[in-house]
Amino acid sequence: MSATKAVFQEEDTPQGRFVIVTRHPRSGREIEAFGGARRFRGKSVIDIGTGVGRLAFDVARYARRVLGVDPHEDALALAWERCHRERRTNVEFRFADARTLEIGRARFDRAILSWSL
Amino acid sequence: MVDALRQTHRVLRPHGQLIDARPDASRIPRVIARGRVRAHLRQGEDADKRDGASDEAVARVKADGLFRSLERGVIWHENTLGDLRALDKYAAGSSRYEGYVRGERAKLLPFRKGPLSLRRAIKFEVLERL
Repeated sequence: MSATKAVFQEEDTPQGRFVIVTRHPRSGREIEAFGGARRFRGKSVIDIGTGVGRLAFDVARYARRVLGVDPHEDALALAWERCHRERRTNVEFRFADARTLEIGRARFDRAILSWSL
Repeated sequence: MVDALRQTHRVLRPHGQLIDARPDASRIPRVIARGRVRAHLRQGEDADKRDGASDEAVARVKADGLFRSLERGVIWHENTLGDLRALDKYAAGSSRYEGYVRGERAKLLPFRKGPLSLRRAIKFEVLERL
């Protein structure tokens, strides 16, 4: 890819808005496709099925607070490790199954179900 | 799946928004080498059934008045998997794919040293919690 070529291309079609995300894991671009700052700035967000927190960390650039939940302890351990390493203060992770979401009384402005349904 | 959507409804504030993003099985995954599509992966029947069930679950909660659709779209997500051996391993180990479209793996042999990327369509829908 040339240095001048856009890495984030959008196209409106009758089927919806298409966004070419050309680099992985630059998932910040994925979050931008979902609305980016417009949708997440200052909001509380729950990322259900967060895995290692890939999207949770990216949305945390905009959000006030992000909770990532997942039923896999090993993935959550990696997410916490990154959280501590990068000294993130607005992201946390918790063990929870999407089918029961036992997370107490917390309520959120936004929820993400990415590859989780 | 409906359970997960109902629980998501419970933890969202009124008029909060859910972003549901999943692979779009109607657009076949493409294997990219040197900037061009060289082959395609084939999705398995089980994954087709799971996708159909997910679509039905979303339709159900909308019909039940829990959510309404605000926006939808498709992103093309591309990740680099390395050489052909890495792609073979991924395609064989995935719960979603059943290898390559028939006869297409041979087209990748000239590019076996990579880098090979997988470009997939991800459909997303923004739903408002009612």
